[in-house]
Amino acid sequence: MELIRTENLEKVYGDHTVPVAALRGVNISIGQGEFLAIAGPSGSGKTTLLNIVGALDQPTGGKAFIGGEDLATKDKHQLAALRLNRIGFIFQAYNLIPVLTAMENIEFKLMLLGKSQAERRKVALRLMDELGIGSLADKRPQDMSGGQQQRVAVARAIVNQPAIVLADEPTANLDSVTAGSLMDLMESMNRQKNITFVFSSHDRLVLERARRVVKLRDGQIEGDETKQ
Amino acid sequence: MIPRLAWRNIWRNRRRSLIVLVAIAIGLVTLALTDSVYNGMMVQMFEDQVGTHVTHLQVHRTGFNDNKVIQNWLPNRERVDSLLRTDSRVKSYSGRAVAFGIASSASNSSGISIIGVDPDAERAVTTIARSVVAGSYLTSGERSTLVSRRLAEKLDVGLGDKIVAMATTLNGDVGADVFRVCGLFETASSEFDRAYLYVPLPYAQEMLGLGDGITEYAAMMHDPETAGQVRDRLREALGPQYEALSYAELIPMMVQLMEVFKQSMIIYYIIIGIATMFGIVNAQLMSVYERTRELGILMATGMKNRQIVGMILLEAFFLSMIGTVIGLSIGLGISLMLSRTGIDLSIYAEGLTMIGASSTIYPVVSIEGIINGLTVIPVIAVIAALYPALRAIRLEPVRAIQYV
Repeated sequence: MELIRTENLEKVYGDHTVPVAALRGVNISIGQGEFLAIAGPSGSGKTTLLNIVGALDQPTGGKAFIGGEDLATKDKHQLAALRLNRIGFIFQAYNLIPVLTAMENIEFKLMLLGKSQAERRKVALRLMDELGIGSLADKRPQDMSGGQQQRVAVARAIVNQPAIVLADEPTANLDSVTAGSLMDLMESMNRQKNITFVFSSHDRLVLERARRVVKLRDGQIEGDETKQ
Repeated sequence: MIPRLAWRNIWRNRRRSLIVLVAIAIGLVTLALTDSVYNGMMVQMFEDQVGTHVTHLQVHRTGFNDNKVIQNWLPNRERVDSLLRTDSRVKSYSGRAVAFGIASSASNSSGISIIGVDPDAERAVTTIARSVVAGSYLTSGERSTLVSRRLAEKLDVGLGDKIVAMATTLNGDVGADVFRVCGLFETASSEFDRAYLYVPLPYAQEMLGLGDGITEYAAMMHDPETAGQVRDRLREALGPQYEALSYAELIPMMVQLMEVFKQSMIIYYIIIGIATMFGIVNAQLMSVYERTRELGILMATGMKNRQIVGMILLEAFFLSMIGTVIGLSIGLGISLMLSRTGIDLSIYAEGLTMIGASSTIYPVVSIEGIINGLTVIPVIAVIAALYPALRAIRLEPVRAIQYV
């Protein structure tokens, strides 16, 4: 089932005198349950594509659809609701809320969804145990390693079982062992919960583990390979 | 969870939060002290004026209050007496014969108001008996007079000396009598002290040719708030020939002064409110600026604009509330301590007594002052935080996330 689709997606940054085209007519279709990496060198448009399909940014041309809904037809509030309900984000720099504990960071999204405290706690604890980070519940980000923080970030992204998780360079700040372990974790979540994972990365490890790799260069798709 | 997040956010930059908090607290200490000192001064001035002579309610013949001539004496006093006696709200009352006149001694003379009173009845409605600083209070049946120490000094008389009191009688003649000084009194008001002289009622009536007539009734209520109700009842029962006046009408200057005091407190609130506003706007703008990336993450997560605004307003509320509670507690603590010891302003005694204020001020903490303190500053802080909050929601999530 198709979950994400783009049609001639274009994004131009800068003013009219010095325009920089980050995406130039990108057409892509991503199905439910895919484990996909968008690869390419720096400046190829990976993050821009992720931001647009994540409803964080608007294209300057073309269209982006999530679950068949055209993102251009939605206002700020509807986009915020879409992100809350259907999309999880994982960032390169983890970006946990520093004043909240690991448990509270994970619970936060459930709070925004209006879940009761008891329900939030129950879901967050179960997920933390599942991801092997139960012992971190009361720790704040500054008291955790990079790998631990990224695991908490993964838990935060999937706690409400979104349709899509968009991960921008998730392993960039991690050593190879920790990165491998994180990929194991995300792959198992993808298989167990059928959550679609879309990574932007040029990390070899990520590209090896992805079941589909879309290559971008200069804002255009250069290749699209699905592994057997 | 948003309140918890807001609470923790304010302690991220402790130094900045403490500076804002201390500034608010100092403002509130000043506000609480000013409020309680002014309030104490007003209460004392009011109680002094009401308690010394004015009382909560007076009944005269219509026109007497504006033109205190003996011809405006009170007709049918038994009727008024009966109405006051049977009203349960009235605590005590006293009939008086008041006339303008002259007090003379062997060496000097002074224009005064001669107050003929029943010593026992007057003792129950005013504090004049307790204001005696030398000699003794009036005794019924003795041709004696109670004068202020200031008047005694002016007339150059002492205890046991004679004073001649003169005033126009009911039929237009000049009535005079000789009284021996039995006591000296002193009140908080130098104006009052210079102008009033007390004599037993029968001698005043005799001197003024009033028979057993009086010019006014002065009454105290169990609850001062009921003075207006009693006044209205008396007006209705007595008709237009009589004027029943509550303290608000008898001492309009005092009521206006209290209003001016309230207005001046509003100005204090505005000054401290503006200072708070700048402090909060500055702190919250800095905080929003520093958390640009984090706000972008919250937006990306799906946090709605109103939740972000709510979080920032809560931060301002918490910060201002802590400052307010600390400042108010310290201010009220000092005020309560001073309300027992008093603030000695005797170096300004001359000026203070001229406006009817005592030279020792006992601050009075008012519930209204506490409520105002607890609400005004936090509300101003929340309003001030709207600007940084609106700045925060104008951020584009994608730009905010990339902010370094």
